[in-house]
Amino acid sequence: MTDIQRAMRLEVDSVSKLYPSGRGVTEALRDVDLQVLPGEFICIIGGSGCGKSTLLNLIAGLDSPTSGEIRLGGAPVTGPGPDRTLMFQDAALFPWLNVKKNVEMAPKLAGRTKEEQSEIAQHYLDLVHLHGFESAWIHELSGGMRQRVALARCLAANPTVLLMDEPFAALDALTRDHVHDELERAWLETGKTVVFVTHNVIEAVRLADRVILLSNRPGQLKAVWRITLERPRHAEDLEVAEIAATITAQLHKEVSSRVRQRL
Amino acid sequence: MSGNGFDEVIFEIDGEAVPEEVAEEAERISRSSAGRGKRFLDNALPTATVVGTLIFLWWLASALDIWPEYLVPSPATVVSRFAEKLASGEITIAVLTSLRRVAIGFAVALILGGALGLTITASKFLGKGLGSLVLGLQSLPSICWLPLAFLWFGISETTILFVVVMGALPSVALGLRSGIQNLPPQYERAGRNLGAQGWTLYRRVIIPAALPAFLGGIEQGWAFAWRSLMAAEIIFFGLGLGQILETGRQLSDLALVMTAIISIIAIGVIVDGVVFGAARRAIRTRWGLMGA
Repeated sequence: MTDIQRAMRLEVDSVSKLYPSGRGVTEALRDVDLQVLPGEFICIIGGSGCGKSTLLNLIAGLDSPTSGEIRLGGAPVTGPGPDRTLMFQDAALFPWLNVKKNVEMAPKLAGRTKEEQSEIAQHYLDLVHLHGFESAWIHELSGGMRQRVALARCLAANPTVLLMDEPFAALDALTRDHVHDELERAWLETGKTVVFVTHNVIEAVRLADRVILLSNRPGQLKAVWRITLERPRHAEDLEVAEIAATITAQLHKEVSSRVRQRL
Repeated sequence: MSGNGFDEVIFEIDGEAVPEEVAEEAERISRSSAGRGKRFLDNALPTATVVGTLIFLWWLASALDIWPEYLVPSPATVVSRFAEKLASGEITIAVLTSLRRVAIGFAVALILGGALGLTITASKFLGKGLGSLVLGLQSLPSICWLPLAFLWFGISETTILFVVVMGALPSVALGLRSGIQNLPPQYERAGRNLGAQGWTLYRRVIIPAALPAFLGGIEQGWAFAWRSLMAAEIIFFGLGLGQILETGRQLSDLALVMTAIISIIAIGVIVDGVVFGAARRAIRTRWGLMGA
């Protein structure tokens, strides 16, 4: 590992998270250790309620761990920051701004000049193939286009780490395939570190360098798969399907163990 | 073809141009729905019919001579009184005076009410302490402030300004608070995530996001400001539309009273249609139909 790689590394260091719930306390995460290399694409999978999204929120700094520490480039994460932008399932675009102004938000908040804002926004809109939609309003876009705007908006903050919380879960399969291609291309071009949460195993294998399975609540590291298939990949590739089948089997085992626990 | 466990049939589809009938029909539909003139007619026709009928009934009531002319003046009398007051410039001066007062008062109420609304939203402590007080203020007709304002400021424009501001302020503040409190959390999360915090978060994200809901409070504030002003002008302030009403009463000139009432209603309708109509349209354009 070079010094630069070490410098930009994302480290999740024995992080636990408890939060108050209806009766008492819910343990969402227990002792999670994770190291993500710069430029690496990791996908986190697990049953619903296993703490995937909690972990992402902690990395984003929108919430803080009960114990343990999260570091980016050696510096502890203490709050939200544009070096770690989070992309949501529902895009969360700003309807009072047109497409381009949405993407300009991060550079604007960073104090860039008007010309720089426009230049940055245009660059990333072109990257996700939204040239020609700059002045469209958000409600005029399809679901897939909204997620591409959200991706461009996140990238325009020039984050070190891009965090994605089931961003394509609400899209139909065809649109999702298309957005996967866009994301993969944007990722290869920008070299961002990506932490991607999903419950769709094929999506994980299609996109990730590493797939990480979290156990049932409290979420703990359960398994890790390194995916070395060549890129660009496609969801319908045979190899993708084979690896996905293996991982799915493990995921089912994990999910059904919880069902048994409940029974 | 078979043998692999499936059968395949692929049709050739020629990508010919749109058939003529289809193109004509599309053109017809787009012309009929997009026509600005038609939309205007859709809105204006019901209004014109209702207003026309009311004026007719009014005319009928006065023509039948059931009540004396000084109690129910005919539409013609009112129109001629209106024309007379317009020619003398009294109406114009009154309208301009009232509009200037309400504009200043409403602007002050927007600024102070906005600041108050933000304060009771952002601070939990002040939200609890001041929130119910503002709620109570809203149920107080602002003309009740007139004696107090009179003692503080005397017969002056400041007194009338005070009454107008107090009329609109609670609606503006509470409108902003409920607009912000009912926001889905995603906007704040997205804003913080992109690097906004503190006042910047409010200015760039939270306040714009709350605008569609806030507009309701602003419109209500405007209505209260306008009513408060009329009430104050009737009681003792020179000039203004309210004063014309009072003059009409003193002279037992019902035509003059009606002239003033019609002007007051007309201004309310015009401001709502022009100013707030534009705001509502802008919001509908941006948010889509859901936000409006």
